[in-house]
Amino acid sequence: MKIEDKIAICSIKHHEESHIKIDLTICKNCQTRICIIACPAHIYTYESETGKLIVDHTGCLECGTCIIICLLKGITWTYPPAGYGIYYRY
Amino acid sequence: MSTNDKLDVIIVGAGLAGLACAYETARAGLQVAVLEKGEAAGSKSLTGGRLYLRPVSELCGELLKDAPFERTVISESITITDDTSSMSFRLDDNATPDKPNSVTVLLSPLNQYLAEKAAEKGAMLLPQQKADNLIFDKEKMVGVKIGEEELRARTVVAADGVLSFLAEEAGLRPQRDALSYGLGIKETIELNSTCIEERFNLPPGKGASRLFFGTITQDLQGGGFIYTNTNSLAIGLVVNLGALSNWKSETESWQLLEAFKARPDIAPLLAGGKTIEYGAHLVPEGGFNTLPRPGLPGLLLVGDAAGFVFNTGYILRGMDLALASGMLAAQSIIKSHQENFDPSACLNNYEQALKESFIYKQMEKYKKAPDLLTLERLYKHYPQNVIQLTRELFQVDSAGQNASIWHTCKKFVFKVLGLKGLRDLWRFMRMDS
Repeated sequence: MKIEDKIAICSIKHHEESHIKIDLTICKNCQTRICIIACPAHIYTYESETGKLIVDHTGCLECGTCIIICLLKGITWTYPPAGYGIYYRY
Repeated sequence: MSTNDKLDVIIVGAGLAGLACAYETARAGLQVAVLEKGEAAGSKSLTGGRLYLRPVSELCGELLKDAPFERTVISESITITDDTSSMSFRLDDNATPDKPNSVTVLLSPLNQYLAEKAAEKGAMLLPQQKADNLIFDKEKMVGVKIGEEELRARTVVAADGVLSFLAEEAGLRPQRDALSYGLGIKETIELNSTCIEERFNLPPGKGASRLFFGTITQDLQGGGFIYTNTNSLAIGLVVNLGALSNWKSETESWQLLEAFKARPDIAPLLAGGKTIEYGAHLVPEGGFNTLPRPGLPGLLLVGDAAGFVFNTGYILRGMDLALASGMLAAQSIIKSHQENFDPSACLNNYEQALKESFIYKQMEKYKKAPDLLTLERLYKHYPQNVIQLTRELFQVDSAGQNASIWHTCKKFVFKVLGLKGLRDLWRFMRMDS
């Protein structure tokens, strides 16, 4: 099963504004990009043409892995606004 | 509203711990509000899927009387895995105890049930309300801010889960250390009940727990699980974030679960099932030594927010601790209201109650477990070699011979275990003493 399909079956009401902020001045010095490997929702990608880290907040499962695993503190993460985000039904 | 026009208790988070606390405090006649940032009660809660009932039968017996549980677990197994094969130790326990040991649950329906029970007792449930900050008055917590608005109460209960931003703001969790967290990744797979009972060798209505260790998490500290619900399976993995942060791999975390599901010894159990939900959640698995103080005057931490989870390698508990801590917090709050309310005394009561309860006692008993479970050998070296030795034991070669028990045992002790292994075994045997 592809990760896109897994996220598609989740009940997520995403807010227009991203609840995840990336500080690219920090990320450009990161060697490991561990956020990409660790994120279980695969919302972090590295764009090799621009050398930028990109995040798609709409698929976030709100586990918080990225804020703990990023030792450089390049990621600022809060919960989405009240009433938004993931709704686990099971 | 009470006479001084403010609430008695604000509970932040409508999960198991928060709702248990709401039920009990409201039942005692206190003015209680439960704030939930998600769409409805328990929106952001996720579990592997098993609740141990006996520890909470006294504290929560009344509350859980009609709770929507899935199956009573009678079949337990631990399986070690290498890249292709697995080996299990299994108990199908058809003896009928008076009280069930554990049940599988779907957490969202359970949380909704608890929310209804709390509301029946008069607790005010406020979904889609996010407590952004605490309100401090000198050294004391007196309420929360919801955007620009202020909501005040004598006690704030932080039941806001493993990431508890309130505990962080209060300075109770100054740093989140990756080693103290596990990343849980899970799928719920719909499958009809007859099929589940046939595949897991279960009598009608009974359930199974399957735990897995070894190369399913590659060389990362962690493990996998399958729990049987009535009409679905919960399948997932937990890997330690500290281990994950040093992982040299091209594989992404979610792919571990896909590889687990595709194994030849797992896929037949899932065949024909339909994935109906995917989820990920952190588990506070630092154990007793990483527990914060369970509050400040005016603020009590409960459940995951307080770090109340423990893992012995074969028993993983969090939900019963969440329910119990919610109840104990409630009892301390109620007691303080019966006396001349003093937030410091309330916190001391709660701390004392925790110390006397199974929560602190059991967590302290297993305080060595988190360290023991970081040994890499547990996840690759031992499972691979034990499976290989067992394979040799069962095989007959072209010369008509099979491996002798004596040689197999010698190999196990001297080659697989060695001195390190004997020490590991000793440490494991002494884990809880």
